[in-house]
Amino acid sequence: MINKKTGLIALLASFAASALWAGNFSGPSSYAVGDVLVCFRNGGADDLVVDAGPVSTLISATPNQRIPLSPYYSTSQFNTAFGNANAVSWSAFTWYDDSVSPVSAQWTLFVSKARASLNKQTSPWVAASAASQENPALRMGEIPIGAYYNLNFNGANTSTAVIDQNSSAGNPNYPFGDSYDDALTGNAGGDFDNTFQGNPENTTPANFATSGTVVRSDFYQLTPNSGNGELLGYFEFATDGSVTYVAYPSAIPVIKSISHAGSTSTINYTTGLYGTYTLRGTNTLSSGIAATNWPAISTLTSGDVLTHSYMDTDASPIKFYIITAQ
Amino acid sequence: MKKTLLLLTMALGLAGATPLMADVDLYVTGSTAFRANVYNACTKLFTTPPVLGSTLFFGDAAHGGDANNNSSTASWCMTGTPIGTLTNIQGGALTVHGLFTGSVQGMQTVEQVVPLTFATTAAGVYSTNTPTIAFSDASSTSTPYPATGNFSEENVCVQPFVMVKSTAGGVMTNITNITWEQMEFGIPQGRLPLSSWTQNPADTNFIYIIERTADSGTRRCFTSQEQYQFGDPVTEYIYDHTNNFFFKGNNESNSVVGTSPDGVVGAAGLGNANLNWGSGYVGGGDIKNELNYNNANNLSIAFLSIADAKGAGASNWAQVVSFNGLWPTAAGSGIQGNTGTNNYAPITSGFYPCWGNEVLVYPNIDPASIPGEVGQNLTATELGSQSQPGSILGVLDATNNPPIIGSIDNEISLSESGSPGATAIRLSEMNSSRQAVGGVITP
Repeated sequence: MINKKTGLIALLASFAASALWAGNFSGPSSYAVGDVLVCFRNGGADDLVVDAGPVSTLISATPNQRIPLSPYYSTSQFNTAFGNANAVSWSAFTWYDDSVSPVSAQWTLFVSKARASLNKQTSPWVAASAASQENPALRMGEIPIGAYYNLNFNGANTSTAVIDQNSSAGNPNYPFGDSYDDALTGNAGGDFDNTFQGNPENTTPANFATSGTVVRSDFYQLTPNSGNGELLGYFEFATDGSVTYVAYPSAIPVIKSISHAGSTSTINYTTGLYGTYTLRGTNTLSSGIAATNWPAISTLTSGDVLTHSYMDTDASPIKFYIITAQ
Repeated sequence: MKKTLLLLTMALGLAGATPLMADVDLYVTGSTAFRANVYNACTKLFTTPPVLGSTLFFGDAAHGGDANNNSSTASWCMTGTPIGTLTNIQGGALTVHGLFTGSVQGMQTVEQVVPLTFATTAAGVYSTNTPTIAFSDASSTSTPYPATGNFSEENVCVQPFVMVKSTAGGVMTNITNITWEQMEFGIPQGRLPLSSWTQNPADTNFIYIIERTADSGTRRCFTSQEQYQFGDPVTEYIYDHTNNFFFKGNNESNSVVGTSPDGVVGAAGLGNANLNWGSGYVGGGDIKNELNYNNANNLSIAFLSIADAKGAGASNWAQVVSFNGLWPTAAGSGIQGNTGTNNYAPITSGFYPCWGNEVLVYPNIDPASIPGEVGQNLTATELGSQSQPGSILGVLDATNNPPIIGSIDNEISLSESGSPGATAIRLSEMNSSRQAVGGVITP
């Protein structure tokens, strides 16, 4: 048992050492594998590439923790690149290469997926073999190289946010590496040159900047051969061009149905993968107590998207229920 | 009366004089694979063939040359009276300086007017000048240095390429063909499992794809054919031929032969110029040497020019394998060990896809007027292009049929009848073409 613990600690330490160090674009090799790249383009002359720090920071965040990306880029830089947030395509991704341990973690991908509905999680990406995930990872790896060579392309650039030219093909500004656009589209036109299973981008509407609402993309971890990707959180893109990461978000709980027999009410409900969900109830709506503060009945089952049941025994002739999440 | 006679004499004298033309210098750089063709053609630009030590000089190893002192030497200088067809430079001496550093590197130094150290008309004396023209195995449009503005590009000939396997034997006998799909998957990762050929899931050992450094025109033809851009990922594996294992190249230190942990294999080049293009093998000859290491661990394949591939294996083209089931010559698998001529009908007819246009990048204005130039004295009329007869390029890069003396085209034509055959194809012999490096072949 002691040996097992020691082994586990060693593995964790090794993994952490390779993944925690934050890099940037200031040198040809200064990007740290495992740093999350958040990239933007709008079909115009320039792209914006952001090194948003180690993915381990996002993994270790607490449920519903909001992490703004303002330390890594500013809305001023964003506006320099695009003018506004209308019709901007963006994605977030990173990878573990063959320098990390354990071996089973090598060529893990972390890739965003646009939500079609703001509050509804997407169906997850599906993990493939390490060999299959290596090629999209290698294409991702050309983006920070291209960013380094364009560090001086725009006066607004910083070591963690680089505005560079959209097209790297035949471009002397890219003696090595690719632009975000070229790495993503390649010859196939998208999906990291068709080496990845789908489109990681979220594209804002043409009137997004004045729409008054955000858009979200889920962020999945794809450990090779692990089946459905693991939802880590989502990126929320605001109308001013800023991005905030929300870790392990709680879902909107739903009371699917209620049946009553004798003094027992059976509540069928769904919760979510993350968060704490509490069933609350009250016999009156005129108490003046906010619904979120109604008396707690029970903490509900969570960690999946299945329908569960809870039986509440109460002889009261009338009762109102609500599920709160945090 | 006396004054009138004197004036008449002077007028007659002026009328009888031919205009005095200045001596001119042409500085050539670019493709190492193509250097022999350029050398051989240049020797025929003079009324008298250049003579070693008198009108022909070679750079030493410290200046990009070697001890061979022949067409394979990458640094040389030849001078003399230009042949009569060079009508635009008659009246002065022509001196051609050659320093072949690589295709992409060559185009970059021409377009960005980067000075190089060339051999001169005196033994052991070198001059630092910007290069005038560059030959490349891949069009500049497929690189970060497209010829635009003051620079233009024209096709010279066609370079055939082949897939070659190592001499290791053993499991390598399973590799008798290589497909486009295998290379599309394998190039980014630098290797493929043997099971890709044997269909046996238990064959998990890897076959490594040996690649040149990023300035290679050959590599560009290879990757572009697989629809990859210049900056797309290419993982470089290096074979440590002493300890017989492969390692991933991740630095720009070099060894002449593969030695861990050096990421570059081959000569560092003048001023370490070859160490600025990432990891990989510097020359096609360096890859040829790697393929010739006969060790059971040397499980490798490579994309090579037909010239370099000739020397891999025990006999001419012994290690060449088919690509998508196709062979570069009409002999099919008979190219292995071929000692006769090469019939490139599968290429000229548009069947075999591994080939590229050799191109020439040149200034379209007076070379001496290019900002930043050093040591240029040619005018645009004197340098010209292949469509301007009488100019230097109007002869050297002429593609007339029949070919003219002094042209590269003529050298290819001459090589077609000799053994073991030409290593390039004249443009006039092509019945098909492609608009971009590695692009669609029509018809």
